[in-house]
Amino acid sequence: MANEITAPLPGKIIRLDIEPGTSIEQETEIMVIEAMKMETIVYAPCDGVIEKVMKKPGDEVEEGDLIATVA
Amino acid sequence: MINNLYSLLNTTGFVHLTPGMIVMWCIGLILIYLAIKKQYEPLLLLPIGFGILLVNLPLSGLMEPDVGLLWKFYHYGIHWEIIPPLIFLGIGAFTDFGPLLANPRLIFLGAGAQAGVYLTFFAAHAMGYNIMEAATIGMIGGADGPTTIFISSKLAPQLLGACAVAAYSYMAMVPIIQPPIMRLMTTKAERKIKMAKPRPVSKREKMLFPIVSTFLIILLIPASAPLIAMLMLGNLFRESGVVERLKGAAQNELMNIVTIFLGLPIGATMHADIFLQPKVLFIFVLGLIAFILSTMTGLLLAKLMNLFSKEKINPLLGAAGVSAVPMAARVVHKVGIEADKRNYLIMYAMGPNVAGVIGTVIAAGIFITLLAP
Amino acid sequence: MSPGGIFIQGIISVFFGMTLLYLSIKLTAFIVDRIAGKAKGGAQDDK
Repeated sequence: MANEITAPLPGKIIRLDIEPGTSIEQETEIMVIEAMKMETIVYAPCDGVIEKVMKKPGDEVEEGDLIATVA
Repeated sequence: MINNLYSLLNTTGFVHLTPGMIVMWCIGLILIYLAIKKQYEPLLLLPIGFGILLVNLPLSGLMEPDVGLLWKFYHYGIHWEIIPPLIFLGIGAFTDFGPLLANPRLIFLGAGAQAGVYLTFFAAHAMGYNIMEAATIGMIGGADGPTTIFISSKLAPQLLGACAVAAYSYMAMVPIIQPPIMRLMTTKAERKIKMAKPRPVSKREKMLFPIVSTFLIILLIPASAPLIAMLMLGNLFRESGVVERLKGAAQNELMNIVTIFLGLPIGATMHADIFLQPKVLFIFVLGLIAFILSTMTGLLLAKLMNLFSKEKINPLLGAAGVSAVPMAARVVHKVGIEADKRNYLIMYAMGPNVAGVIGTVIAAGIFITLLAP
Repeated sequence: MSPGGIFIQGIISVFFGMTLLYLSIKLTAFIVDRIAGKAKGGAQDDK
């Protein structure tokens, strides 16, 4: 079943370490979101391979926005 | 001939120097150093530090009533209560009340931290400060610079410099002062509590909030009107979406201008003769206690609320009830991540944080109502 | 007024003020929901 990676907090994506085909494990660092001038590391919620990435670095996201899907 | 030389020497500042002035130079230089090197609230500590240097140069007359340049800044800006409300206009334009509206019960955490203000007020009075001075000192625990300056100019102008510097320097030290208290007073399991996803807040609600709250707060505590009115007007600029230029001006140009006119005269109130007294210096100790107590009462209230509610609150959020925006919220976020790296508290912490601003203004308004001459 | 009196009155007033604010947020949310509900047939507002 495909899993979704969503933004856990609102802010701006300043680093995105995943692209389609990247294999991730739970706890891999996948991106950095900047909120209130503070950088927060986001970790992968599950194991798998990235299927599709919806956002790119520089995008503003709201909490719960879809970032990528995992196969 | 010798006489002439002597009178010439007398017109220079050198012969009028006192040891106290030199001590004040050092204090001024330390603040400038902290501002530049450590970036502790540089926007304020830099002009304050320079103001301290200026006022402790003898014969300059910069703070001479009716004549001196800095006296005019002080009198017409701070004493007339123009600058602190204008700062609040800018804060209003900066502040997103969304996190507060999404999670309204967190508003009480902003009130909880004010208990520290009153406890310190009590302690300061017991130690021999008069009642108005004690109220001003307690206010440092609210961790809000403009409000501390506002109440000080009304109740205890002689302490303004020390209280303002204490408030701003402790605000800059929030990341050092708060975390040990937060770790001490919460268990790891509590710090790991994840908050429930907040309800969505509509644009219309955000727009109505500044209007409704202005009515309510000013009706309840009229003395808080200057600060609340400006805070909410700034916020209405922001949320209305139709006056981007005014919002920008309040946030940037106006804010920057008044910051200059705020810092310099605050420094200038700190003349050696006024500042170097045990009574004034002890404010720094009491201010720190106020800050610690506010953090603690915030945390305790959060734990108390957890006893009665089904949806648990992460008690760390209580520490964000002091109104150092957004430093206190960032600290909560960092301490939360330490306990569980997937616990992102920043947006929840902004709720009590901005509620803290309102709570501090209300507390100041009550002091002024009850005590103003 | 005694410091004790100010202390008590102060704390009560701050909590009272915040409670009013809390209620006003709830009330505003309720009204906005109702208006949005009538106008658009849904609680979700333009965001």
